[in-house]
Amino acid sequence: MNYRRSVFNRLSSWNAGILPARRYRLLSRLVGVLLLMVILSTGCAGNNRVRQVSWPGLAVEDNVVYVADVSQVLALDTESGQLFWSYPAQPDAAIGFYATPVLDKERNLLLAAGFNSRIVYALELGDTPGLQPIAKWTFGGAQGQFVGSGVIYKDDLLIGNGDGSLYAINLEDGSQAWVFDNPTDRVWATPVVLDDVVYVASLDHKLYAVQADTGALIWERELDGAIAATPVIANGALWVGDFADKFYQIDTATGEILWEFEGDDWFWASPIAVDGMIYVSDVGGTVYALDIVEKVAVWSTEVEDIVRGKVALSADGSRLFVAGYEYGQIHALDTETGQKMAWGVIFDDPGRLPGDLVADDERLYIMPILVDEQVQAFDLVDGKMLWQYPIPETK
Amino acid sequence: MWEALVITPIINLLLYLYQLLGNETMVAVAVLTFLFRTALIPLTLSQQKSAAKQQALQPKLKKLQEKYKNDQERLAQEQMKLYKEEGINPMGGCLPLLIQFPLMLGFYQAIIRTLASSPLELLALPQHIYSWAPGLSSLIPLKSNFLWLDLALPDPYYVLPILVGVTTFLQQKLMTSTMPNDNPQAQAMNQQMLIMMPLFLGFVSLNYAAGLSVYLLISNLVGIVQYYLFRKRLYQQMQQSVA
Repeated sequence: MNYRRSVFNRLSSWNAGILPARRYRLLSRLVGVLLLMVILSTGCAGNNRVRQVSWPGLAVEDNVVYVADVSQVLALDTESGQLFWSYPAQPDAAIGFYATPVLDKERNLLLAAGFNSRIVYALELGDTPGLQPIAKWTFGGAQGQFVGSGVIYKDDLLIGNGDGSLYAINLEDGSQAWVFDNPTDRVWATPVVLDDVVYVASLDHKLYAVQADTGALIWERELDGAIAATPVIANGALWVGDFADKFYQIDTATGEILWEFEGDDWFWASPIAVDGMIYVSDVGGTVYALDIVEKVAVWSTEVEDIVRGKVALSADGSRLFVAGYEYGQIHALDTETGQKMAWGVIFDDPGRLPGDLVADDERLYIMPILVDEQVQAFDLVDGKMLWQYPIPETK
Repeated sequence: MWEALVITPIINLLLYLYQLLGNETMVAVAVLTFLFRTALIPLTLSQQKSAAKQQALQPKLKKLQEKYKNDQERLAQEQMKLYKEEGINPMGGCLPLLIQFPLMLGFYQAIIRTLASSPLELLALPQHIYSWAPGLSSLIPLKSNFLWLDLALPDPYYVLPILVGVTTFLQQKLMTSTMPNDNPQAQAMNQQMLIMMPLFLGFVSLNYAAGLSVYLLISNLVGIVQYYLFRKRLYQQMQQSVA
């Protein structure tokens, strides 16, 4: 108390004769509040680590891992994790790359969308993976944030946006071919295309079937909850889950609900379909194996964590990998029985795993958040970590 | 514990009101704030009553301080004795505040979580929704637009921050006017609060979701109405205490 008083007196002495003591006290406290506001505002803006609002997306094509990692798009070697290039060369968190990049092999373009910048970037790739790409065009016609990825249909990129629209963007020059703006809420799911029809899901609870050439509505179907998951097409039908804990089979021609399955929690992860089976998890951590011919749940297993990401299957189809969001662990399940299998190692500080799991023939790739590691690759057979990016510095 | 006892019930109540009031988030937040502040009226009144009583005791306390200025232990004993005689709990003014503050914090957190605008924010929501309450999950995401506002984002035209600042000033002014204060230190403190609180809450409103600004605004308005409704009673109590 005495110390405080002496500090105050010393400070006051600097003010001697300028302001009355009472006003000086008032002014000094006012300055204190303003300083608090500045501290709060800088704290809100974040420090060195970017505040995550979504999860990074990852795609593997031709031995290259393309990662949309918030402030940059990275191209990494699948074998070693070595960086081929990054775009932009210097990180720019103001872009906010989250949506999984899409490769247009015909035009040698990599398409990445910015959550914060609300811009789609078409990066023209070089002839070899090591060459730095250049931006061929950008599309800035959307009003909202890009969360879901896009799909290529003929000469267009079809991509949903937070402004409640599905955009068709010409791949040659980035011009808008058409826009479908019927949804009344955000489009976070990636659209899927079958036989010249694009299916798009929205948080407005509706699933829309749209002419992929013109953007004209064919049908719309209202479900019980919001739809953030990307549908999958299997056995000629659409399969998708919603936030009302339901998973549906939908007729692609009419939008009629053919079958519905009640889960334990929201369905946000996109399902995967293999050999008459669908594997999907709900947010509460229950993983389901659904026989889509018999329309029954073959098994369900709880992994005791929140699960948001799409599950991945091993190359031989014997193991199913599930990413636990909160505890950051990967769970391996027997695809026949759903039983948990020993696989991989448990990390002390694994971060969180909200993104989709991606597997190729040999490796499983994950993108943890809230840790320094951006991408990790594991051996599909024994779960041994093969590499991580950035590569840790050796002493 | 905090999540289960405070945040989760408020989130579910907000969702229930949203369902009941025609899927209008603005109305649901306003009604919930009103109910919340109304439920806290007994606490607020008790805090004001206690403050008024303590204020009335100031001359007697001053005399004690003079009398026992060289014996701190005795001073404390005599002060406690005086509080006991007058039927005052010295912590009576703080206790309601201590209860209110965490509840307000929980209320704010619940609003922000329910209005989740980004995917990661939304991902944290399902674990807070009661699975036994029918239909609440299917309400997500809430409609966050109202007039020019997106309740999940700060007001782009600064209307709400200004209103929050003005109503906070008014409420502070009214509250301090009920407390006749001879103590110059307390007066100076009141003067500072009169300027700092509106600035601080206006700043918070400027930088955080408009849903929070709605909460602060309605909360201030209820406080002002409450003042006009109960000022007579409070004044009488103060007069009795002084007498």
